[in-house]
Amino acid sequence: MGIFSQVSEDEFRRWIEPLLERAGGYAFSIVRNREDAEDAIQEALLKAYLNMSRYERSRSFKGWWFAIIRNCCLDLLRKRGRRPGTVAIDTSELPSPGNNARGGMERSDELVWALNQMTPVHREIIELRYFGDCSYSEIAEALGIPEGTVMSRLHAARQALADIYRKEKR
Amino acid sequence: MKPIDPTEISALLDGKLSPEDAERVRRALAENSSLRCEYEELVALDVELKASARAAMFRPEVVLPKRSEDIRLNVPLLVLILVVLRFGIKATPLFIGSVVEIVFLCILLGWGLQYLLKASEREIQLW
Repeated sequence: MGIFSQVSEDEFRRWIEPLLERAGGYAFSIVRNREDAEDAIQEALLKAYLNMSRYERSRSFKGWWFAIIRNCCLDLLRKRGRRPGTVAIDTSELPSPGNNARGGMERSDELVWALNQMTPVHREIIELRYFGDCSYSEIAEALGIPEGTVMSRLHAARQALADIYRKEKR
Repeated sequence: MKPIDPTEISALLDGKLSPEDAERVRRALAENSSLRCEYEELVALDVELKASARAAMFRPEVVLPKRSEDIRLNVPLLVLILVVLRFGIKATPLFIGSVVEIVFLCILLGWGLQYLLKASEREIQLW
């Protein structure tokens, strides 16, 4: 198959291992369910493994793999007849009270609700930046856009989220 | 002084500005209260999103894919070992020679057949 003509199996494992926890959080932010997040990541691992020959070393591996995770999550939601943003929230999996910066479970609910109100374009960049902990270059790789666009889109997404909060307070 | 691009506020939050640009934006924030208000709002949101992202993090129970062993590569070696065990080491060169001859004849036969088939196709086309 010529899978590892450029990247060895050991190298693949070394790259994947430190990303797993963040990948878990990132997939969870899209599918909102731990089991589904695990399924999506397992699928994304297999896809990445089988397509390693297409990966170029000059590109960000994290960005490349997180793009695969995103596609797997969206495929999974499609299969289950759900849309991102309208998924049911598993409240048992939400951040525990007190972990939150502004305090309490209600605030977490509010944040999840606000994220669901955002446009898919804005939400995906917020999910990559925060839940995926991706840098600008990694986001650019994952979304296939220039870094300058990442900066402006991220700012627009933050402003949109702030607007949603402001409107909710009124 | 160069005017502030709104996206630079986000870039400052992410530490993506050069020291000079960061200083310029900080000065603008100090002078402009509405800009400062917007920045503080984004900072609060940033803190909240980071906390939420930390809480959502978990290590998924996944199996890392492994390349399966290709047993086809071991078949010739296995045959060779069996030949040595069955007929002894002296018979092995004879066996290898025979295998090479058979493979050579098969290739020759394949080419020959292909040539004949093409020749008959040419004849049909001529007719």
